[in-house]
Amino acid sequence: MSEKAFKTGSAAPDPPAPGVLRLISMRFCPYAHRTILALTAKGIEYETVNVCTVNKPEWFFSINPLAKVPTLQHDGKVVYESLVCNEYVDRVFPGRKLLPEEPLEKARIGMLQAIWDAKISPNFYKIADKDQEGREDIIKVFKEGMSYLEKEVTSKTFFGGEEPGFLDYSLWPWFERLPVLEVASGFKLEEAEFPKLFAWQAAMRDRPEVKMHAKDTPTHLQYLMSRKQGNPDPDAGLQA
Amino acid sequence: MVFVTSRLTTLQSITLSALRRSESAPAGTMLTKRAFKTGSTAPDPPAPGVVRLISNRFCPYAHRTRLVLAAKGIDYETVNVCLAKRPEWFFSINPLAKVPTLQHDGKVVYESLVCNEYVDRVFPGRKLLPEEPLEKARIGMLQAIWDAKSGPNFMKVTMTKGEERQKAFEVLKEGLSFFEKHLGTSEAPFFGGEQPGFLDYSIWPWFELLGLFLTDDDVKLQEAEFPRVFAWQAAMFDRPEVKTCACELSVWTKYVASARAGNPDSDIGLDDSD
Repeated sequence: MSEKAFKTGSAAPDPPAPGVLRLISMRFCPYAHRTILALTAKGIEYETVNVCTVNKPEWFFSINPLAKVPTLQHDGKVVYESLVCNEYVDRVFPGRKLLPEEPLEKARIGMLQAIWDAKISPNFYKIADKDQEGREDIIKVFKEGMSYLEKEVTSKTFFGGEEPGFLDYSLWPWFERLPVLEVASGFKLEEAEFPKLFAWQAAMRDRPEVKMHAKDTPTHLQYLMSRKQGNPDPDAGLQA
Repeated sequence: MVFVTSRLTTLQSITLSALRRSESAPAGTMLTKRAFKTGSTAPDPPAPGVVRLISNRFCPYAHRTRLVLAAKGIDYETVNVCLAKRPEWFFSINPLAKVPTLQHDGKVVYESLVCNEYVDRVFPGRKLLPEEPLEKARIGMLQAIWDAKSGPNFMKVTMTKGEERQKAFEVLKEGLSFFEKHLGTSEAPFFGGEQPGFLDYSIWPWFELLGLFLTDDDVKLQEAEFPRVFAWQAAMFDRPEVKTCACELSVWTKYVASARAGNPDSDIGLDDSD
């Protein structure tokens, strides 16, 4: 299947064959990246249909009314929202369990995710903009959020324990994109300030499921620039 | 630890430990309902075995968790906090200092849907979450539609005019149409089936206030357009846990007025004994 993104005005692809898991995705979307990591970590076979998330194909809205990636299709079933998808595949498919059984452990994931959503993700690309108003304060909040993660990775290698789990894959896509902030604006986290997070990043980068889908910083930057210039190119980096 | 589900009044705090602590005190020993503000002294931590909810009487997110606690018959005590002038001690319990926050034997849980899932799994009583993974996923998807289209537009509709207001109303209704369709797939009155479940309590706080938000003719929901949602709303109003947690519209109206005047007063409606 072509990796090229379906755009507005495109004809809908045939639905997936019986038994086939299809992921509707976009090569640069960090939310879709979460689900790609979970599927790969669990060794689940799937096919990918890429869409442009700015110039969305109309057919996408009839599958997912929010027309957002990731969206999973499987024997007539549709699941969307990255963390909903990840929990669903974790429960339905065999392979390493990514979610903890214990309710408080699971709740901790939700709470750390909320800290991330409040302090880190809304500020992520604002930091890339050197002219961003209040950038100093934004960076302070961003690092405050990171300090909670630093505290959480204590004696374990990953948030999930000896191997990555649900939260590791939920956060990783943004860490892969952190070097973009450095190229764009000189901002980087200091290893002296976040030693455990740095060790965690190194361990994650070494994981086969992470390596398989990793994109380098210039390619991430190419997509982001195309988007900033008003002409998003979800096919950036693909051979013609 | 034992949770008495046979009701010493679920809400607003008569707890076994409170009774044991002070045999001579009146049976209604309870924490004040008045909100702790910036500069206040932290209350003592909850006694062993006691579930404490840090809350706010007018927060719809805290309302979600109050509903779930009531639905499951869980005893708990409440500490209300002011959200405009948050007490400093709150940040050391929950770094986001948001309600609802649960405290229980040294454990802390926050984020309304995280709290609700946690109590559903840990405490006995009616299960609010479905076992089946796709059913559970559907809740997450409907929640996402709500968060994208309907939830934020309830307030937006009341605070805008003209085309912007109409647009917000159209999007709100678009979101509701998915809920209408979902109810239409079954005869059962609630999203949770014969009884309300996780999703029912997640969206109820906004529906309870329809009489506050969507009153003007140009933004009135029509029963003909949403027959199942209207029936659901009536069924929810009839539920004991909904009635227990409800705050009168007249009190809400006063609260909204205080917020619009720039000084939200979450102690509105309380009397001296509270």
